[in-house]
Amino acid sequence: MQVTETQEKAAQLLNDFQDISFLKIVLILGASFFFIWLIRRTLPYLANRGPSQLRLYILGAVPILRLSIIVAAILWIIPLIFNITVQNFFVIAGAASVAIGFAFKDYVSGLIAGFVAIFERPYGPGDWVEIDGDYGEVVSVGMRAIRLRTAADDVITVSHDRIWSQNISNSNTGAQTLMCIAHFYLEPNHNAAQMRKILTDVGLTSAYLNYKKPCFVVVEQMEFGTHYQLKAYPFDLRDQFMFISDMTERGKAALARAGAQELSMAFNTVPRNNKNGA
Amino acid sequence: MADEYTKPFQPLGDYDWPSSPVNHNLDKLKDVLKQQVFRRRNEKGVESNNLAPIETPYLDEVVPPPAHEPLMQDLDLTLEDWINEAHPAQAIKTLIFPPCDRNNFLQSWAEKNNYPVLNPAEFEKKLKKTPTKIGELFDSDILVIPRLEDWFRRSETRLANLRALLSALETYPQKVVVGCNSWAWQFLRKSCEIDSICTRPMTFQAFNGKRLSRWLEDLSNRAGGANLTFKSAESGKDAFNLNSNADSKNEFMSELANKSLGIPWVAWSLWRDSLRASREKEQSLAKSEQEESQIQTLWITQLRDFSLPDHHDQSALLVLQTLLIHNGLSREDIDLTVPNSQYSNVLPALINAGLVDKMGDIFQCVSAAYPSIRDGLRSAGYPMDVL
Repeated sequence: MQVTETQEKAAQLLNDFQDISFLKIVLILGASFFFIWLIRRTLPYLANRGPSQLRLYILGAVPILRLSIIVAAILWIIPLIFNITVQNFFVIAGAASVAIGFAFKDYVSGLIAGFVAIFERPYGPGDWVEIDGDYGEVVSVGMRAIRLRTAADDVITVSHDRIWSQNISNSNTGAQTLMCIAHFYLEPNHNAAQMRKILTDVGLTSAYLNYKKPCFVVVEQMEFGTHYQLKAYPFDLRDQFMFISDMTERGKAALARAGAQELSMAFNTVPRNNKNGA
Repeated sequence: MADEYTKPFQPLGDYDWPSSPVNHNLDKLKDVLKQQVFRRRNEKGVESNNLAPIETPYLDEVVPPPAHEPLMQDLDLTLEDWINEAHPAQAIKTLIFPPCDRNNFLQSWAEKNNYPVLNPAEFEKKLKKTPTKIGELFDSDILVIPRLEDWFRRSETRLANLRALLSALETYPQKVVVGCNSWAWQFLRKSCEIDSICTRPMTFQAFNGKRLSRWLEDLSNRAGGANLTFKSAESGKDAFNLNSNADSKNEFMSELANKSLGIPWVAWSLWRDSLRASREKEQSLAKSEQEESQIQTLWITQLRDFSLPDHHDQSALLVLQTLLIHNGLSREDIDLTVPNSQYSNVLPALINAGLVDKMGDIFQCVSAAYPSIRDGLRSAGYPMDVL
């Protein structure tokens, strides 16, 4: 008698309708949405107003906390609706696989990639990344996609599933700073050692310079002239464009004072929003 | 002669900060709570609206400059053996000081001991062309270069003078005492690798409440002797004589040491800043009450906190940073060392906030505001000094 009852119960996929506490489910969902909303509001606010050393840690906590809340809510709600047995688990998994395979393949791929991205961390909030030629700051990491704010103040939504197929170039990977490069192209007949020294001083005297990181000049001979790259790190990655502008502006002036001749050849093959481009 | 109040300089990096940033913020919170919640309990104190600022000439009598007096003995003690040594292993003694020293401590020390002082203008004029002859111009076997921050500007065009000095120092045959402010030192370590020539830098030991109490009491004794008392406006307690137990903790002086980061010229400025006199009504009342003893009371108010621009106001912070590195700059030199011209209205705003003042053509950070400025720059992620 008892065995038959258990078999019947196991075969039943959903709990009895009158046993499901809809009020409880609504409360769990409501509380989860509220806490996620609260975290997404308060943590970025605190991150932008607190000590800059803590900014990226605080921003990085947002997706992790959100995922924890969602997982907790799902684990809480599922037993309220479904009658969880091994048999039922396979039934639900099979049905879900068919639905996902036909209708929500890309969406679920994005969700899974988002889950993987939280742990693998190819990017995090506050990082500066380049994906498919778009360079910008990760302003939010959602379940399915991230949002990038470019230097031109465009917001670009990029699905997480890009991590399966494309290279993600992360300029700082959670660090407070990133390498900035100012480019100078000079006519080839000049004293390269002198120019290198001048440009190094330009980098070393920038108000944005991070003293703990190296500052150096790379010289490369090209068909049309000499290419100088002044490489240095700002103390705050949010200053990167100001830093590059400062080095470029003062570098050009210093080179002109030293009698160097800059090349005016058009050299713009990099895509828009690229880190080293416009 | 060493005593418990005279302490030798110590290696750079060993500075015992009186208050950590976290404690500093907790102290601020405690002050606010104390002011809001416990204000009415202090019956022996004086309401702040009954107090008036003290005129500068009188303040100069009561708390006279210079703001570095006890450091003289500390430095004498530190360099005593080295000065007497004929051929010391380390010919260059490098001393690092926090910024905002308005009285140029090391120059005063050199003048007191009759040591020649080398300044950038003189170096540029006479010695730049023959740097190896630097020793021939001075009779003394000790040369003092008080402020390296006066030798450069943070610009690719204005480092040459300092680099020429450093190469001259490499071959200088006699003893040299070099002084530099802690912000400039960090910049010069990066840009000129100064620590390979000026090795083993030292700095003074942080002033704790006990040392500050002794120094400030000594200053007031010279001014008014027994006829002058300093009382807390909040509690009415005597700042220098809280109770008979000499070892008991003097809360006000500990707070002063914390807020000033243990830097004597900052403590001196904060101390002066906190002093108030009773307004006329109260003074006449006090006179009648105290006629017999003729004791004049100066009231110590809450130490001032300075509010810094938000760290999104990058141009204000950049200006404050360059002022700290150079110990003060003219408008033209600020233009030279700070990128962009966005700060055109920043200087008046900083002056109004009490963070910067102008002496002649030179803008300088206010000594009393230095701890707040340092806090603000650290919070915004700027490269920090080391003591």
